[in-house]
Amino acid sequence: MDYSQASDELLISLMAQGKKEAISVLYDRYARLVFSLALAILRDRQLAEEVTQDTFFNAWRGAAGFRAEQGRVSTWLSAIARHRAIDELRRRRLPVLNMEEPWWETLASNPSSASGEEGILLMQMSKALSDLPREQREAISLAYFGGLTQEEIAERLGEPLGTVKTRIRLGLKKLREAIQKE
Amino acid sequence: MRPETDMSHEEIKDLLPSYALGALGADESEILVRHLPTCDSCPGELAEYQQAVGIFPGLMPQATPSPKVKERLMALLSPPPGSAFSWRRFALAWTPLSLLLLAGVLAVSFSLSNQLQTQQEAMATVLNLEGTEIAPQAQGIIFFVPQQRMAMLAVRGLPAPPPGWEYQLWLIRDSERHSGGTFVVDSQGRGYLFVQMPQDIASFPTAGITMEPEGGSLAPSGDRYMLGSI
Ligand SMILES: [Zn+2]
Repeated sequence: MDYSQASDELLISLMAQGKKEAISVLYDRYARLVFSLALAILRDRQLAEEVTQDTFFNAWRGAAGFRAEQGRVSTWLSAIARHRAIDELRRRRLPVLNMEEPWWETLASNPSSASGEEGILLMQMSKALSDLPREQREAISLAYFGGLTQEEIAERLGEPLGTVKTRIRLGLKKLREAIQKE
Repeated sequence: MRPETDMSHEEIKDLLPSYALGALGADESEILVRHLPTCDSCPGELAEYQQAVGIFPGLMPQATPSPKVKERLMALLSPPPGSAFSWRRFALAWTPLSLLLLAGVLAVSFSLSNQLQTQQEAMATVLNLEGTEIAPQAQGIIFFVPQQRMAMLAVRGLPAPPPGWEYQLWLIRDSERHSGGTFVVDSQGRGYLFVQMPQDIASFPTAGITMEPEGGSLAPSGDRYMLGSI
């Protein structure tokens, strides 16, 4: 059977049956996404490669527990990768990403990487993040890339907890609205 | 201590964005997690926040991991030695007769290529496999080419394993069991396997075939279907 045309969800169910070709195809589809996220969090290629390997290995072992109604496969893989990368960040006490790096603007410099429906969502999100007040984007970035809680972000920025909560809430509301508009 | 839940619905709703971002502390997370199954609106709203956050990874500068990452991953999933998958597919495309002819050609060419070997050492060794009482119709043969540390297995008459199961070849020496790789059978119970030998065949005088979970086992765990000795 040729698995290259199979949907993500079908690949996951084949993985749950122990089909190694299925994870091979899934890997080819999403290794760049997973690796890029791990690299953005850890900024160390070797560590990011370890996280990538672990992410797919965990996906292989956890395939039977995947529920399509809880979200997309790419989101599931990203969530595994992010948790794993943040674990590594904390364990090694690595510095959290410098929030001045405009990670949300990469797409603007390379628009060809985005196409179709997926590309439209990426463009909308990139623009929505660019439009956010800097403080809101900073709080969101620290939570997402640094794995910091609201309390930890408040401490790090020397801001009241309530202020940080408000920044995250307002910022994320705008991001959510930006992709619900259509 | 269980977190208090005297928060208003509006206050609980305000936890959703932070929760989607993974930035909520343990107490607040627990309040929200206990609220979600009781609420008509919050789960849907949370899914929308999660969808938004789920787009972030696609915005990262895209980079490609070394091909070694995939190799290591796939090796973690496979039993260590033996049957590369492409070999198995290749073997299945052959009829039993042409496969056995090929094995003979390989054996002869290898023996001719090694002038220094005595005739006896250079000859391919043949091991016949018999079905056990649970597979009395099964027949099999293994050609060993000792100098090349390779072997080829061909079987017929094996029952088709249920989904999620495969046959696995074991090379046996005393109490040691060395995996020769896994294989499947076609509708007539025919299966083939190319084996990379760990050491000279002389040290593995016996071979057996068991049924194992797909991907193979580290040691025989299932029923034995075939057995044979040199
Ligand atoms: Zn609610």
